[in-house]
Parts: sequence; C-alpha cells; structure tokens
Amino acid sequence: MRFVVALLIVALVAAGAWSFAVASAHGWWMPRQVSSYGGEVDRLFGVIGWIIAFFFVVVLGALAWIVVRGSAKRADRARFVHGDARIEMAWTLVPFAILVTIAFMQLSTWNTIQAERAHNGPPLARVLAAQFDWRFQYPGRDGRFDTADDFEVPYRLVVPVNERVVLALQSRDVIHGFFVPAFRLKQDVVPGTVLTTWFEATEPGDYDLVCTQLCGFGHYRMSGKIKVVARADYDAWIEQQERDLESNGREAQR
Amino acid sequence: MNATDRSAPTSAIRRIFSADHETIGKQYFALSALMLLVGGLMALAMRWQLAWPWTEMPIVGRILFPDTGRVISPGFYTVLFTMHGTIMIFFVIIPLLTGAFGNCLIPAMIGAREMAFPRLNMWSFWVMIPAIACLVAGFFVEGGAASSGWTGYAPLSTVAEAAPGSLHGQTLWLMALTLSGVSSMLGSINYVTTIATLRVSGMTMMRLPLTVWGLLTAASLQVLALPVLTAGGLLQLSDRIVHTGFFTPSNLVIGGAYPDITGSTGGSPLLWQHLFWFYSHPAVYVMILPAMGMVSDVLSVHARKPVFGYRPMVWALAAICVLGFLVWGHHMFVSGMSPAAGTAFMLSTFLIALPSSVKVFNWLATLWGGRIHLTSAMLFAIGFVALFVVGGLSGIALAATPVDVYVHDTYVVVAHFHYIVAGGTLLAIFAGTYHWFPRIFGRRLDERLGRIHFVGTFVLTNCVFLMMHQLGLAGLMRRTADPYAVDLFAHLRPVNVFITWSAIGLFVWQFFFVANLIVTWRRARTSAENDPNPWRAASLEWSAFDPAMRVVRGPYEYADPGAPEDWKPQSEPGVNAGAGVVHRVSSPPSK
Amino acid sequence: MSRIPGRRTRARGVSLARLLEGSLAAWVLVVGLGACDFEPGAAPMRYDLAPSTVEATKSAGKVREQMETSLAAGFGTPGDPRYGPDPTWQGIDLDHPERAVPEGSGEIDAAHRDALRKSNITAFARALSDLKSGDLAGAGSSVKHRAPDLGRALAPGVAPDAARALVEGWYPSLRESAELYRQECLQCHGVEGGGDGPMSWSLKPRPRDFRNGIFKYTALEAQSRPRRDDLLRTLEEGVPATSMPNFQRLSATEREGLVDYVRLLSIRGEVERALVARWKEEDDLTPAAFSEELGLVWDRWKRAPEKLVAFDGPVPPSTPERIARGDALFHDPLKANCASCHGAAGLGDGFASFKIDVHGKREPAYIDAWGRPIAPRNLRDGLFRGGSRPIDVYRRIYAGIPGGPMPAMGHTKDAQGVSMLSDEDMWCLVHYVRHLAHLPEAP
Repeated sequence: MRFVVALLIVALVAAGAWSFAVASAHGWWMPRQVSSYGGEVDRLFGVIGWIIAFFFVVVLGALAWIVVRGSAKRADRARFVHGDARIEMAWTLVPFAILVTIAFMQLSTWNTIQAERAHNGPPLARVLAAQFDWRFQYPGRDGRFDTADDFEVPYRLVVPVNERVVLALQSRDVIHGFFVPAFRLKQDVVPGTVLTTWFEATEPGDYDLVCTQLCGFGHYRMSGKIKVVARADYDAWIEQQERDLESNGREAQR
Repeated sequence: MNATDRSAPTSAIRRIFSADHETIGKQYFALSALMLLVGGLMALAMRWQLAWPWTEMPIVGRILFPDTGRVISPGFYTVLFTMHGTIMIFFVIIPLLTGAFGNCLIPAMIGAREMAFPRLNMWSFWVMIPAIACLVAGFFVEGGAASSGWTGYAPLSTVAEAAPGSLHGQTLWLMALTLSGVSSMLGSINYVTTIATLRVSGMTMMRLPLTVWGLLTAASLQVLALPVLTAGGLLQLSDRIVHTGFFTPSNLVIGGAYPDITGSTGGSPLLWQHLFWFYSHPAVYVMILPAMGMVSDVLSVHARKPVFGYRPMVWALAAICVLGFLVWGHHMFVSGMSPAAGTAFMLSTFLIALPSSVKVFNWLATLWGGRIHLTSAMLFAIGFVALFVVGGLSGIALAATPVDVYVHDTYVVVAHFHYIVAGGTLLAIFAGTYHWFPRIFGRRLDERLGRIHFVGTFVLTNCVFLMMHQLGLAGLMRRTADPYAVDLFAHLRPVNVFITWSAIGLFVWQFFFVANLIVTWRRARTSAENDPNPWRAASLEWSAFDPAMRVVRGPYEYADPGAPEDWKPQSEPGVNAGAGVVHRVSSPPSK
Repeated sequence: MSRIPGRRTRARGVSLARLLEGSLAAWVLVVGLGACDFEPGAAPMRYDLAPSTVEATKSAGKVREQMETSLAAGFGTPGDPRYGPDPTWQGIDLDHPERAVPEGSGEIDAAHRDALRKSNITAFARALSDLKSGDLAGAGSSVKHRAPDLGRALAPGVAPDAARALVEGWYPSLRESAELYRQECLQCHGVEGGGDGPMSWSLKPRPRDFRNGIFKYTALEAQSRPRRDDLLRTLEEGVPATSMPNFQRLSATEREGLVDYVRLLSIRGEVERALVARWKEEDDLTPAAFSEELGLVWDRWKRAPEKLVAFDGPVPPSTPERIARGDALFHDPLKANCASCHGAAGLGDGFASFKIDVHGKREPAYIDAWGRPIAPRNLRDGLFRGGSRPIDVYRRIYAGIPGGPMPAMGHTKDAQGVSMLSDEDMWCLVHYVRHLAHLPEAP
C-alpha cells in the first residue's frame, strides 16, 4: 500500500506537470497577450508559477518519500521528537521571505493597472453593460458625451492600436465583469457608479471580451469583441458611423 | 463503549429530541450526509450541462423540462450552482465539521460529560431543519429557488426583476442562511464555552488535542463573524421586501423594467460584498481549521509519533483565526474597491499563507521518522495533505493582485477552492470518519473497502479539479451555463468532457463508502471491536469517561522509548481527590 | 500495510467486499467504453397549437386534428422543419432562400452571398485549416457542433476542394437553423415562437410572440410584415431596454439561418390563426384551405420591402431651434401631444397612459396586441429599443409601433384632412426626443 500511496502522489505531481506542459499546445492556456502591461502580468505569473511548481514538487515528493520510508517496518518505534525550534524557525522565515518578496514584487504592476487609472484622461468610450449585452457609446466627432452626435454600437468596441484607451464602465442593472483575456484586463462594472479602466493594445486584431461576474441566467452568452485597428482606420470608422447616424433610411439597407 | 453515563431515554420523542451531544452529533452526520448527496447530484447536473450543454439531461430534464427537449434552462443552471454552493458550505461542510465532529469529539476529548449547554446544543441541530425547509421551499415558489450565486451579490439578489430566483427564492434563501447562521451561532457559543469551562482537571489549553483547537478557533471565528453576515442578510432582506436601498443603487433599468426601489437613493453594491465576505472569508477557515486539527490527530496516531511542533501548530491555527478577519478584501480585487485597499488585502493574504505553510511542513515532519500505519484514516489524512498543498499553492498565485485580476472569477478560482474544500476538507472528513467511527458507532469500518475508497477518491478528485486550472487560465469564467457559447472557449470542450466523466466516476465511487457502511452494519460484531481503543490512541476520547480522572500529559505521547508501550494515555485513572496525591505537572508536549 | 495492534480480519462481509472489488473493473470498462463517443442530443420536441387555438377548438376535436395535421404537413416538426411538400410554390424556394429566384422578393442575392462566404471562412477557420492539412475528419468534427448537416456532408471520400467549397458556401438548412434556434432562442421565445419559453415569464417585457407576425421595431409602415433586413437588424443590434441581446457572436450566415427559421415560425403561427378564423365561418378545413391561407400570409411577407419608411433628402441636423420647436410640439395637445402619454418630462408617466384602480394603484391603461398591459417608454433613460439614430426615431414617430398604442404620426390627420405634423415637425420631435435622452435622468 505504501508504494500505491507514493505512486498516487507522484502521479499527481506528474499529472500536474503534464497537464501544464500539454496545456499550451492545446490552447488550454492564457491567450497571447497584446497589451502594454500584459507582459508584466505574464512575467509575474511565470515567476510565481515556477515558485509554486518548485514547492509543489518538493513538498509532494517529500510526502511520498516519507510515506514510503515511514511505512516500512524498520524501527520498532517512531522517533520520539516533539519539535525543533530551529527547524520551525527556518520553515517559518524562509516562506515568509519568499511570500514577502512576491508581495512586493507585484506592487508596481498592480500600481500600473489600478492606481494609474486615476489620471488617464477622458474616456474614449462608455461601456454600457446590460443583461446580457455589451454596448459601447462613443462621443462622436465633437469628443463630448451626451450630445447629438453620440452613437452607440453593440458587441464590438473599436479602438486605436498603441494608444492608451480609457473606458468608462457603466451598468444600469446588475454587476458585470469586463474581462479581456488577451489584455489581462478585468474590472467589474458596478451599477450606481462609473468606474474607469484602461489598456493599451499593442497589435491590431479582434480580441474577445466576456462577462465574468454572474449577471443572471444569460451570463454565459454575454460576450463581445475589442477590435484594435490603426489610428487612420479608427478615424475612418468613426466617420462612417457618423454618416450612418445621418442616414435618411433610403440608401442603407436598414 | 460510550463513556457517558446518561440514563436510558424513555421514549422515541426523547430519543429524537435528545440533548445528548453524541446523539446530536449523529443526527448532524445523517443530515449532512443527505445534503451531501443532494449537493453532489447538483454538481453532476452542472457537469452534464458543462460537457454537453443544451442536451437531454437524464431524469432532471424529463421531470422539469418535458416540452423543451428535456434540456435544462439556463435559469435552472444558475439555481443549480447557487444551491450547490449554499448546500455544500452551509449544510454539509460546516455542519459536518462543527456539528457532527464537534459534538462527538469535543466533550470526549476534553474529558467532559456533556456540553456546557446541552439544550442549546439540541436547538442548534433542530434549527437546521427549518433552514433546510426554507431552502427546499425555494424550489416550489414562483420564480424558483435563489439564483444569484451563493455570494448573493446585490443588486442581482435584491431586485426581483434581475433574476428569476430573486422574485421569492432569494428571500427563502436568506431565511435559510440566517437560520443556519443561528444554528452555527448556538453551536459555536456552546463549543467555546464547553472548551473554556468544562475541561477535566489537568487538561490545560496546551494539552488540548489539535482537533479541539481547530474546532475552538473555528467556533471563535463563527461567533465573531456570523453576526455580520446575519446583519447583512437582514439588510438585504429589507432591501428586497420593504425596498430600502442599502445595497441597491437608484435608477436601475433591468430589461425594460424599472424596479420599485422607492427607498433607494443610491445604495452600494460593494457594501454587500464587504459584509458578505467579512463573514464568508472567515467561513472558509471555519471549513478548514477543524479539518487541519483532525488531520493532525490522525497523522500522529497512525504514524505512532507525536505531532511535530504542537505549539507552532496551535499558534498557526490562532494566527489563521486572527488573520482570517483581515483578508476578506481579496475577493474584491476587481470589484472597483480602492487600489490601496487592494494592496493592504494583498499583503494580509500573503501573510495568511504563512501559518498554512508552517502546518504543512509540520505535518511532513510529523510523518517523518514515524512508524506509519496506512489505515484508511491515515490514507485519507495523507491525501488531505497532498491536496491541501495543491490548493494552498494555487492560493499564492491568486493572492498576487495583478495575476488575480486575470484569474479572478475564472475556473482557476473554482479549482483552488475545490482543492481546499472538496479535496482537502472532504478528505479530512473521511479521514476523521474512518478514524473515529469506532469511537462514535462502536464498529470499525472495513479497511479493504476503505482503501479502495481512498484510491479512487484521490485519483478522481484530481481528475475533476486539476484541469480546471487550465480552463481558468484559458479565461473560462465561472458560473457559465454554456462555455462554448463564446468561440474563445470552444476548444475547451474535451477538458470539460473529461472532467464530467471524472465527476460521475467520483460520485459513483462513493458507493464504496456506502457499501462499507452497509457491510460494517450487517456483519457480526467482532471480538476486536470490544476493544474501546483500536488505534491505541492516547487522547481522552478513547478512554472511559471518568469524572475523577486527571490529565497528566499532552495528547500525542507516542513512541516514548522509556515507556512500556509505544503510547502513553493522556490521563491517569481517577484517584480519590482527598488522598493527597500530588498534582503531577508533566512537561508540555512541545519542547 | 503494517498491522496495528488489535486489528483482525472480519468474520463476515468479506464476500460482499470482494464482489464490490470485482464490479470495479467492470464498471471502469463500461464507463471507459461509454466515454469514447458519447454525444447526447435533445429529446424530440413538437409544435403545439397555441393556447388560444386550443381554446377556440375546444368543442371541435376533429377540426383541431385537421389543423394539427395540415400544420404538420405544412411546416414539419422542430426537429425537421420545412415548408410543405412543395416549398417553391410561391415563386421562391423558401427552404433555400439563398438560392436567388429571378422574380424573387429581395431574398439573398449574389453580392450578399459573398459576404456570407466571408463570414463562413471566419466562422469555420479551424475547419478550413484542417482541410488545408488534408484532415477531413478533423474538419468534419469541428463543424459538426455548428452545422450538423454540413458535418455529415463532409463524409470521408469528399475531395478536399469540394469539401472546402462546401464549407465556404455553407448556408444552413432549416433543420440546422432550428437546432441553432433551440440553443440560442428557444429558452425565451419557445418551441413555436410563442414567446413562452422556460425563461420567458421572468422577462420584462415578455419575449416577442412571433405567431401573429407583428414585429415592433422595423423600418416599415405599421401592419406590414418585416423584411429579412429588419429581422437581421434585431439580431445584430439586439433590442436595448429589453432582454433581447444581440447575436453578433454568431456568424452572419447563422443569423440569416435564424431569420429563415423565425420567419417559418411566424408564418406557421399566422396560418394557424388564419385557420382558426376560417373555421369559425366554415365547418371543415380542407388541405386546399390551408394552401390558400398560406398563400395569403406569404403574400403579406413578400410585399414587405415596398413599405419602407425613409426620408428623401438629407436628414435635418439637430439645432437648438429644432429642439425648442420639438419641445413645443411634444407638449402641444393639439399637435403631437406626446406628453399626454410620455409625460411632461418624458419620464413615461403621462396621465393618458395610466388608470388608477380601486386600490389607488396606477395601472397601464393600454393593452398591446399580445394581451398584456403596456406602458409608454421613459424617454429619459437613454435607451432606444428600435435604434438611436435620428432615422430610427423618425420611423417610430412616423409609422408608430405596431402592436401597441404608439400612433403613426405620419398618417395622423386633423379634421380637415391635413397632416397633423409636417416632416420638419417630425424631425424637430426626433431631435427633441434624442435630446431628452441625453439629459441627466431625474431621480
């Protein structure tokens, strides 16, 4: 039985290692990051991940080894020991040092994501979250919200590449979660208050947006896209939307 | 076998409404086992939906959705995970640990005849019945049971129009939660008082078995944190019923409806989150501290070796208990809370990882050099340590705020807390069951079936929860009824199918435990079972109750080379107090 | 396993334990085999008659049977929906609207089909890359989830080029669209499109009941059936301030397919209603009567594009003067009189739209075409159900909103037969209403 237990524990370690090793090949992994601070988050995750992996292997390996040795009928009696202050000290202080190191290591990233949001300038668009849709309101040509040339688009937020994009997150019903995996960005959208968040996409493309905070029975289908385009395309798109706003319903199909 | 000398109950009513702690403990066992079955079936229904969304669900679909292809509705899915979480936390894990094990073990371990407040104790169990009745009633009211998650975030939970279950189900859910809170409160006051006042002579605090320490710290957490949840629950109830605006912002538009929130002039949804997590984070420790204590006992007894570092273990429990009140904000890193508060909560969260890691190292050291008997109880305890390590380590990644921003509300979190609660605590509960079954029921469970039970449970638990980490890293959010509705997650299907099969396997595997109970119950009593102390354990619950006994040493005196046997019982038989025996003060167990 | 003191083997129960262990291997085997290719589906469903039909034919079991038979022959079942034995009888192949018919009714044309082809390439990117690598089976299994019929068509033996053409040129069959409808729409809109799915009762407003052919937010005159474009617009944009989300998650081709199926449900419902009305006059429902009613219903759908509401010339821009004039018209009881229902402040609380019941509780005064109380919109919440562009608001004012009390102001004439509002008046109202939406909402 002791070898069975050891095998189980070793198998757990192996399965853990295997599942993480094969995961990225199947896409069961973080999507490629394309935002200014995504790299920082990924690096941090990598460092913490390796620390975790190290302790995972060491602790479980030690457990397996101890079980195999301890259940062999070697000694008549176990070692009679109640503790050891020095060892206790060691395995209190070493993890403490590691934990504190990790804690302080990630402060600057946290600051980048969160604290800097206060002085980021006016929002590019308002994100209007509602059960179970994302809609985006743009200020239009004049750059001011709540004027006649505002327009709304559902599903797809269009933003310029390599520019700091500030969003004002609003909800009129329940709490939603604004999550763009490729940007490593997540921020709850809380009704009754306007929260801002920001990102800077580094590559053009379509990136998925999902809702991460339970918002009702349709939570699973509440998704959208962030379409990152070059500045010129962005301006052209705004212009096209403005023209659509002036449509007289004759030339357009809808 | 039973140490108490209670008089024989006279009638069935008296036997059922008993104030006897062991009877109450067994009642808790039965009730929680039943709820575990219900919660487990709900988990299976969810897993079915996650692997094969919008397909005919066996049994459930036929009964509830006969006209729409026997496919569960997304609303019913939200009910499922809400009820699964609520049942597993408030009606399975907490009652099993504090109610069942607490009642069966605390008096016996501290050498008390009874609880300090036996009748209060009885009430704490019987309040659970209306609590469960409220929970079940939710399924039969208009709108169905609560469907805003076990976290009940406002305004999803406070506004009737926001979710089907928020019509009436949420009210019943709040009542169920409040009643179960009353139950926990009565139980916890009782445990704290009992441990504080009814210890037998010589049983100093530093001679308490770690199980008692775990239960004591858990009960203290309950006593201090529960009022906050109860108050929060009442505020939410008043938001729902008399339309006050504690948690409900004004000017809501839900669908096309303008909810009647006349009293609201801008309530704060975050306030509910603070109140909720101020209790529910400590509740997480309520769900693990007794398990840690029980595992420490089981490891020590079956390794025939003293617990390594008893005092650090106690301090670690106490530290978790105190720090447990300071970390609730780590559930709210992305909620829009001030980033400065986020930093503070991140630091306290890293700190709380420390005592847990100390405990893991101490468990390893306890086993190291031990003479390990791989009984079923020991196997489950070792399994607990292994799975707790996995859950604990992933907690470190979750504590780092920038990483948490990415994995928050994804399946990484689901994997993390299931490794702790389902992998960790449930395995510890099985360890405790195998270990104390002879003490509680006078029978020993079948070891062979127990080992088979362990191997399958351990393997399948990992099969179910390990790959959830990858799902979460791929960005898959929690509480999604159909992961493949978004193209981004379509490729995750094979993983979910695998997890679902593993979950079905894990559920069916518990059949071996049920079979074990049946086999044990049906077979004849063996002569070995007349032995009141089959494990040769040193702590008090294994020796006959004797009001005059005197505790002379710590609970883990195994393997003393100077002793005739490899264990020394914690107490010495009672002597006439007037005989002038000098009180022998033995050294504390930790040197 | 070392023996602990006092441990003994059991006296009985050993055989049971052994039996359990034996069953283990068998169980693992069964589950393992079962897990290999397990793909459950939904149980078969059926189209039920509407409750009103059942009520109307309560005393005439035979007629109800005739009705059910002819509807089943005409529209199939939810698992296999189709238009009758001959779907081309009305000059268009309704089962395959992508196949352009020369004198067709504005169904999908060649240019439109190219756009759909592009959307197929995006939607089936993985399948196409599988095809490129010669992995037909991989492609087949990756499209199966979205397009079961297409997955079947990609059987082994198809040449890669032909397979590629199949995938790119895919247009969903009605059966595939019905399956998509089941997964995406049915929970709210119900099996028959009656707006009575399992989630429907919890929504405000209730999901649209397609069965009387009335769709509120179209670009058309009231009383006309929607065009494909109107239904597509609803799928693309959703309907804000209701529970109808957008469906841009799906590919454009899939949305076209959903439009086909919604249209089938709607036509089926209309024919059902027509048959009930007809039965009240005639005693018997012959197959010929069914065909005739189907023809009449389809004619209404075919004529939809003629009813477009549009404005000739550029849209007048929003100016303070127009807003001021719109304000005056809005409140003028002899002109637009919007305030009587929508309230002086546009909060949707006008006196004419509510009645006070005996308990002093305010109840909506109007009942909509689906028999439910309907309240006027709050124009201050900034949410436009039919779209927020000026032309969208213009259409609401000009043509009214079918199914509800909102009148078609473009057709409202005073006693002398003169239009109450000129075009300029209506644009002033449009800009005033859009201006209201931008004002801060009253507490």
